[in-house]
Amino acid sequence: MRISTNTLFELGVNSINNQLSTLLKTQQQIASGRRVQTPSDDPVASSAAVETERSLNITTQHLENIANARSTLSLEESVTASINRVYQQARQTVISAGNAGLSDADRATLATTLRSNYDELLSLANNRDGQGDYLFAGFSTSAQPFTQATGAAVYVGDQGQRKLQIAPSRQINISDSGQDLFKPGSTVSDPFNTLENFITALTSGGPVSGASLDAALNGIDAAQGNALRIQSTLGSRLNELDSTEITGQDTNLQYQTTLSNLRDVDFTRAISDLTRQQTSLEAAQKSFVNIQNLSLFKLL
Amino acid sequence: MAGLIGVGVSAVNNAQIGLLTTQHNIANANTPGFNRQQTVQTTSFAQQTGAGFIGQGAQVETVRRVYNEYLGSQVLSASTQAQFSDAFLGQVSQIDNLLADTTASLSPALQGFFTAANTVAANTTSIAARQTLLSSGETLASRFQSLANRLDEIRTGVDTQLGAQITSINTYSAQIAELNQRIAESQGSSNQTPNDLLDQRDQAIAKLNEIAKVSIVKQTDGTYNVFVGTGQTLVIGSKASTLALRDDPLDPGQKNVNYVFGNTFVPIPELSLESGGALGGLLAFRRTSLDAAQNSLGRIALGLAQTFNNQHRLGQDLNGNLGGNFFNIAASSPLIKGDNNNTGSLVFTAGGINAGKLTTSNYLVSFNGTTYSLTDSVSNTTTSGLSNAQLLTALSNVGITLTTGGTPASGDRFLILPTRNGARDVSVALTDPSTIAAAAPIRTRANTTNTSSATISQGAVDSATQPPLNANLQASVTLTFTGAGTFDVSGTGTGNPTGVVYSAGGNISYNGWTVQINGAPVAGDVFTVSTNTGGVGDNRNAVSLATLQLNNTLANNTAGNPTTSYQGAYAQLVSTVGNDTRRVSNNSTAQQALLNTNIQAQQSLSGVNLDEEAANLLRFQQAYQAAAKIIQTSSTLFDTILNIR
Repeated sequence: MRISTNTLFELGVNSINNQLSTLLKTQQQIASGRRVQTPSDDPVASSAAVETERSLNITTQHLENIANARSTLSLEESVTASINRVYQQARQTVISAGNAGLSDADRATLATTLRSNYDELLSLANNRDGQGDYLFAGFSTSAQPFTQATGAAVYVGDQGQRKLQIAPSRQINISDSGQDLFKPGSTVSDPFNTLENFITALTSGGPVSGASLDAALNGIDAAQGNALRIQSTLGSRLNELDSTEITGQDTNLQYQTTLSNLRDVDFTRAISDLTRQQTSLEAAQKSFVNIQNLSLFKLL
Repeated sequence: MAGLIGVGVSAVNNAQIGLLTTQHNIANANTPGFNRQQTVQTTSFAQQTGAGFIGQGAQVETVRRVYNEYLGSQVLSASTQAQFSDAFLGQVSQIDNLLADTTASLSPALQGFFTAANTVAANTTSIAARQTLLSSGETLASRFQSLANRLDEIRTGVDTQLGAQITSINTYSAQIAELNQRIAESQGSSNQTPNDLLDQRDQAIAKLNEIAKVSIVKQTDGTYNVFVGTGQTLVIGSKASTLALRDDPLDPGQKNVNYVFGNTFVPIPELSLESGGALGGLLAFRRTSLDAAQNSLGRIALGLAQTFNNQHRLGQDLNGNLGGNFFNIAASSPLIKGDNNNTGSLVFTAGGINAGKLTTSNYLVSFNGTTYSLTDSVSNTTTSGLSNAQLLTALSNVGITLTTGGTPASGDRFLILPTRNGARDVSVALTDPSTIAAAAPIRTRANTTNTSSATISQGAVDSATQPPLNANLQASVTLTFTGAGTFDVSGTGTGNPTGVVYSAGGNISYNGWTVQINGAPVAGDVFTVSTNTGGVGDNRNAVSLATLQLNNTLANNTAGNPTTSYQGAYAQLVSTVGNDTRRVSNNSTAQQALLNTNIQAQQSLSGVNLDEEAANLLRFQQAYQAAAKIIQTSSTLFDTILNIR
C-alpha cells in the first residue's frame, strides 16, 4: 500500500496523543484516589454514588439525632431519679410524723423538712435543659410549667411530647410532659397537693390523723409509682437508642464500603496500568522518531 | 537530423515538466487539501515511411491530479459526523465536569440544608440552630443559582459559537462561489482541469462540511451547487447566499440560524441542521442534553421549594403565627413566551405549579385557527385538536396551572418552559429565624379529671398539597364521651355532631386536623384539640420538614404518587449527563477512527510521499540528462556531416 508522508506523521502523532491521554487519566485517578472522575467515566456508578451518599448522610444524621436524643433523655433520667429520691425522703418524713410521741415542735420541724422536700420537688419539676428550656413543660418550653399559687403548685404546661427521627421509620419520644410525670390536678397522685395537705395537717396542732397519714402515704406512693413508670420508659428508650445506634453504625459502614467500591481507585491495578501505559508511550515515541528519520532525501 | 533534435527537445521539455510537477508536489506536501499531481505522457504521432512507422518521441498530454471522488466523499461524510460529535462532546463535558465537582455539586448543599432542619428539630428554641437553617437554605438556593448560571453561560456560549460558525459558513460559501467562477472560466478557455483550483474548492467544501453537512450537485460547466439543511441553497454557480444568527422568536434564552432572503430572515428547521457538522452538534446538544440538564435541575429546585413550603405552612413559628413560605419562587417559573410574530391577542396567565406533576419537558402550543396542538419537547409528540379547556387540562396534568385571556389567531405559537429557570428562581423568603415554623399549630389534651386512662394522640395537620389551611384549624374543639362507644363534638367549624361512634385508634378529623384516641374512654371523659399557644418547644413540624428528605416528592407516576426524592432526581440527572457524555465520547472516538481510516485511504491515493517524489526527482533528472544526450548526439552527428569534405 502506498503511504503518504503526512499519514505516516499523523499516525505517529495520533498514537502518541492517545497514549498520553490514557496515561494522564490514570495519573489523575491515582492522584485523586477516585476511579470515577466525572459522571461520564461510569454513569451507573456516579448516579449510584449520589444515592448512596444520600443514604449515608441520612444514617449519619440519624446517628446525630440519636446522640441528641440520648443527651436529652439522660438529663431527664437524672432529674427523674432525683424526683424519686425526694419522694423517698418525703415518705420517711411522713412515716416518722405518725409517731404518737411527737410534740408540736417536733411536728413543726418535720413540716419544715417536708416543705423543703416540696420546694426541691417544685424546683426539679421546673428544671431546665442547657438551652434554658423547661424540661417538663410539654411544648410550652419557654414558660415555667409549675407555678406556686395559693395552696399546691399548678401546672400551666401542656401535654405535648417532643420526638426525634432516629431511624428511617422510627421516631422516639424525647420528652415527657409535667402532666404525665406529676399528674397535677389528679385527686390521688398529685404530689404537690399531697405534700401541701400533709404540711397543713402537721402544722394545724395536735397529732396527725390516721386518715391524713394514709392519704399522704398513698399519694406519695402513687406519685412515686408514676415517676418510676416514667423512669422505666426512659430506660427502655435509652436502650432502644443504643441498639438503633449499633444498627445505624453498621449500616453506615456498609454505605461507606459501597461508596468506596463505587468510586475509589484500586491502587494496585492503577499503578500497574500506569507502568504499562508509560512503556507503551515510550515505545510509540521511540518508533516515531526512528521512522521519521527514514527519508530518501537524506541519501541523495 | 532535425527530427532527432525535435525528439530530444520535446524529451527535455517532458522531463522538465516532470521535474516541475515533482517540485510542486514536494512544495505542497503539507498544504491542506492538496492532491498530488502527475504528468500524463503519451507517445507522439509516429512518422509513416516506406520503412514503417518511425517513433517521434513523447509529449505531455496533461498534468492530472490524483483524485478519487468516492474516497473524497467518504472523508467528507466521516468528517462531518466527527465534527458533530466533537462539538457535542465539547459542550456536554462542561456539564459532566460541573456535576463531577463534589464541592460545587448539589448534593452537599442539599445535605447541609436537611442537617440544619434536623438540628432545628433537636433544638427548636435555639435561635442559633434556626439561623443555621436559614443560612443553609440560602447556601442551597445559591448553589442552585450558581449551577443554573453555569448552564445559562453554556447556553450563551453555544450562541457565541453558532455566530462564529455562521460567519465561517458565509466565508466558505463566498469562497466556493468565487472558485466556481474561476474554474468555469479556466475550463472553458483551456479545456484542461485547473487542478489547484479544484483542490482549493474541495478544501473549502471540506471546511464548510465540517461546520454543516452539505450536499453537492455537480454542474456541466464544472461548478458545484452547495446545499445545507433541508435543501437551503448556499452556493449556486458563482452566487453565494448568506445565513444569519437571530434571536429565537420563541425561546428567549437562545438564538437560531436563519436563511437570509434580502431583508427577510427565515429560520432553518434546527432538526434538519442536526444531521452533521459542528453546528449540528451544538444545536443537538442544546436541544437535548442542555435542555434536559437545566430542566431537571429546575424541577428539583422548584419541587424542593414547593414541597418544603407546603410543609412549612402546616406549621407554627416561634411567635405563635402560622408558617409562611420558606422559599420564594420567582414569577419566571413557569416561563410562557408567545412567538414574536403572533397576531392574536391570546395571553396565558400563570396560576402556580404542582411540583409532583412537573416534567422535564418544554411545551410548544400552536393554534391552527380552530384548535390547539401541544408538542412535548422530550418525547417530540404532538397532541392535536385540543379545545382551550382541553389544552389547559393537559397542561395542568404536567403541573402547570394556567388561565387564558383574549383570542388566538391562526398560526400563533407559544412556548412554555416550566422548569428552565427553576434553579435560578428559588430563593429563601424568610429572614427572621423565629419565623421558622418548627411547631405544629395545634395541640391536644386529655382532661386531668378523666376517669379512664384513654389517651389522645398529638394530632397532625392534614397535609394538603396546596395550602391555604382550614380557617378553623386552631379553633378549640372538645370531644366529650357520652358513653364507652360514642362522643359529642363541639367547637367552631365542626358542625357539633353528637353521638359519633368511637373506634379505638381510629382517625378523628375536623377543621383540617386528625387525631386518634386510644384505650377505653368512659362517659364524661373530655379531650380537647386547641391552638398550640406558647408551644415553642414543639418540634413536630421541624421533624416533618427534616423527613421530607427521606420521602419521594417528585416525578409523579400515572397513579399520582411521587416516584423519586430530591437526591434521587439529582442522581438521575447525573446519570443522564454521564451517559450522554459517554455516548457522545464513544461516538466521537469511533467517528474519529473512521475519519482517520478514510483519510488514510484517500491520502494513500492522493497524498504526497516524499520518498516517491525523491525517486521521481531522480527519474526525471535522469530523463533530462538522457534527453540532453539525444541533443548532444544529434549535434555530434551534425558535426560529423559538416566535417565531411
